[in-house]
Amino acid sequence: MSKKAILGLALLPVLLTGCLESAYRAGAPVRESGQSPVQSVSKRAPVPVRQRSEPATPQAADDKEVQIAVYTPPPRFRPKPVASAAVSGLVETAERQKRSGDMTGAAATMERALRIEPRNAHLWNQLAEVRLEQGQFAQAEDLASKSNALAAADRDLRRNNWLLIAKARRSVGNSAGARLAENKANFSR
Amino acid sequence: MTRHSKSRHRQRKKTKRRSKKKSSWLRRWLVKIGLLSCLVIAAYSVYLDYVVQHEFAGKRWAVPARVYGRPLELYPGAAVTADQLLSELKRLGYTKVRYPKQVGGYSRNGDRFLVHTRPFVFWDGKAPGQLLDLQFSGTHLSSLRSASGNSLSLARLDAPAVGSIYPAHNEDRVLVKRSDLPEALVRALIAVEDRGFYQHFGVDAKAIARALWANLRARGVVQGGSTLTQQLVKNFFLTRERSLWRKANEALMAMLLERRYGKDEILEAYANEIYLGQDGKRAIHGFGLASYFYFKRPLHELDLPKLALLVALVRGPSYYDPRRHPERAKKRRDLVLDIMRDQGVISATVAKKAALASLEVAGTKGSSAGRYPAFMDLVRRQLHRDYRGEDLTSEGLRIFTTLDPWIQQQSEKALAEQLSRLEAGKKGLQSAAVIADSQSGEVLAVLGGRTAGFAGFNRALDAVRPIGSLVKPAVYLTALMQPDRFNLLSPLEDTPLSVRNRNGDTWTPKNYDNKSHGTVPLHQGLAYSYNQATVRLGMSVGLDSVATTLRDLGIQRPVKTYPSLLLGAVSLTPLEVTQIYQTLAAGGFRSPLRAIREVQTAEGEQLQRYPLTVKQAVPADSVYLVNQVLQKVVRNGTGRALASFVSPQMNLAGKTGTTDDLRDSWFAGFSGDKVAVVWVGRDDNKSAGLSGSTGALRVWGKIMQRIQPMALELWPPESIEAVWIDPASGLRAEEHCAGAIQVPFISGSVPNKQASCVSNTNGSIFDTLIEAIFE
Repeated sequence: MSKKAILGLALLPVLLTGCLESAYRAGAPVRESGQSPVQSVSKRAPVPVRQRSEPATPQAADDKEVQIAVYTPPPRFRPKPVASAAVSGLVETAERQKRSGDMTGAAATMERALRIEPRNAHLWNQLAEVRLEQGQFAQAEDLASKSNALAAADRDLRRNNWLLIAKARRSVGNSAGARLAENKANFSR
Repeated sequence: MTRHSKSRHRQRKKTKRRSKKKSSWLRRWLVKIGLLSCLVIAAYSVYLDYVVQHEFAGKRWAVPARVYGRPLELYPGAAVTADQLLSELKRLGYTKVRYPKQVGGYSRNGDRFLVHTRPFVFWDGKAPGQLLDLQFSGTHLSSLRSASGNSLSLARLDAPAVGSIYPAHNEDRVLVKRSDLPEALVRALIAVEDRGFYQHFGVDAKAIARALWANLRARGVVQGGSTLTQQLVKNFFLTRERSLWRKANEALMAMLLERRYGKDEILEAYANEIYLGQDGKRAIHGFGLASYFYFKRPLHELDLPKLALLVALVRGPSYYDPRRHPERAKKRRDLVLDIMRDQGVISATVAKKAALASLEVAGTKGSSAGRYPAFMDLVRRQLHRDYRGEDLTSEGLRIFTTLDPWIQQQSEKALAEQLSRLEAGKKGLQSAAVIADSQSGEVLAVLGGRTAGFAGFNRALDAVRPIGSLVKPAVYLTALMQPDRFNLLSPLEDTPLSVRNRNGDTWTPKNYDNKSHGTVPLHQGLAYSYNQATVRLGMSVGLDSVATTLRDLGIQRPVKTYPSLLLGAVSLTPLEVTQIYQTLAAGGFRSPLRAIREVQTAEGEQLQRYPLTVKQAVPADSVYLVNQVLQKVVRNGTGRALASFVSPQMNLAGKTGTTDDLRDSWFAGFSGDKVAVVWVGRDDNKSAGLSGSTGALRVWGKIMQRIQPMALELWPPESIEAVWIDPASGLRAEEHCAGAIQVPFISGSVPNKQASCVSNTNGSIFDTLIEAIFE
């Protein structure tokens, strides 16, 4: 492990995101398929992600005759994905829909945004929030995990996702899982 | 006492007096019979009146569900080319004009388009028509503005109608209201079919006389005297038989109908009921649908010559079919224009100008029905889980699907092209393919066979075939899910072996090249698809675990846990395989494949959504390792032939599959945004003579070449670390070591032992300390 690791640890930005608000509102009257109110969460908790601080940016593998020509590690610290104007507009619309209690509409708008930027971790996080507010806890947790998988080194977002997961787990009575997620959130600070 | 009974009284007296007279007895009976028939006729009229009223008032046209493809999203930076926009505009029936003042028009100047979009009721609300100014540069849309020059961030075209779900009697229609009927259409219809429409009371004596006279003179039926009301009644209630009885019934019912309902209501019913054409088994009813069927655009966008053609068709949609008999149709249309002129509906100049227009009928191929039978099949199956067949065929639901007609079209072309190339010397080759969005599971295209648009056996959904080596990623994934036991460098023995089946048989798997390769690192076993190494690995992780992984990846049918499962003795449809690879492509997050996004009522109210869902099905880090190897398959493994189709810089991931005797040839893989599966084989299950890489791969590659997917960039999950390794020993090295390579590991599974090139004195105490913390 290089000295860069320590440097990276020392320089970790201590950025906190705002707490997740969760005003539970009644969903819109539109049916959504596959939306059963009781979804078992305990079946398959997400695989615990082993946290490591690893700010090293390795160089591309220099392979000549070697078997693993495959691995070209992308840079560890990517900038936050910058949403295009198209997506920002949709995110604003979704926020508006959320505020007016139209959760189904907000979800549809977020999905439209995700079709444009499927790898934007923030959009997955926002969809997770909508599902959480709708009481779809299992789905909220999976969406937040998906967001985490794409969040790379965006620690604010990670923390936000873990807090969301904690909330979702607590809502279905899985307090041990919730505490685990909260630890993850704290580790992401 | 009434006069009537008085007379009867008198009669009775008379009868008494001359009781023996037969004539009076007869008269009495005649009167009785007369009375009775009056009663019967009255009762019959009451009955007919009931029928007419009941049917008409309660008439809710069976309006088939209308199915739409995805609307094309336009925003600066969108990966949409000018060609793609053009093909979409044509699909939507937009007219090329000099300047698109009207909705449904566009103009083009090189890479710049002006498009006047149609208003459209999307699931999330009504979008007004707007005039867009679009500029393309090469592979993408570079700028999007409104006509006034303001830049826009996002716009979408109306969703293309891709089909309808009509009932068993095959009647299809698009409902129109009286107010939607263009005045020119109404006036043409009345001029030609029933000039006394607004005066008569159901039947038109003058018209009948006129027709009789004309027919007598011509000694045959040349003119009908039926009013629009009678025609409607005939279509509505009666059979096609030609008899006086039916004619009488028709007249009676027409009069009853007129007594109950206004002219506008009757006209609206007529406009929706009238039969105007045939599209295979599908009967085209009403002007609303006929407009789409013949001109690919809504009724209100039609000009006079087009409206006149629709009216011309009333007399005989098949005799005057403008596609099969254009000259006949044009003659009839011009006659319609002449009649309109003669009756003063239009001026002579207008009539003359309209008669100059060509028919401009859209090609049948572009007709919106039945173009995508394989995809529609999937839509229908998914809908039938939630809706009664009756609702689908009669309620006029609007169904918004995920179909991307452009991708469908490109894939069809690619498949047809490559299959005829592959077939050289062979006969009876078939193929199927599914293309989906890798992150959301939205199905973009379904190809059920090699003939596009042919609604036969849907191989994409129904051909259940052994998947061969396509199963291997699941075997390796199962192993890599145990990071304490396996990593990409774990040594596997690719040496001959025999496995005992449950039934006692021994099974001796061989490699495709009939050679064994000795000790190979795990990643090579997958990249080069070594059978013996894979079976050893699979037996060591356990057949049940592999079956569980397959289930987690998304297959629902039961899997038999024979050792041969490890080499793909599990039969699945291309759609099911797509689900497996979707989960891999999405980094372990399974999204059930969906063909439908939303369902709206006929009135545009929201009814149901089929939301995007994800399920973390398998660990992201293990999937990441498998995907690394699947990229290697394409780069220099069994999938390397893809290089002749797609740039290696796309870093696509995929896997070939071949079954015994070259019966099935598979390729499954993904880009950054799409996952696709192709099967090539024969319906009779005989050898197709193609391996995965000589067959399906070529189709897959061609599809990708045509649809221009996004490059695949795998992002390592947090728990992945890349470590320098000395490839010779598989031990840990450092960057400066000669020939050292970087290998991804799941944290905690990194080899501890260091290769000789790493000198311990090199590292400071501090480094060692840090390492101790994290290992």
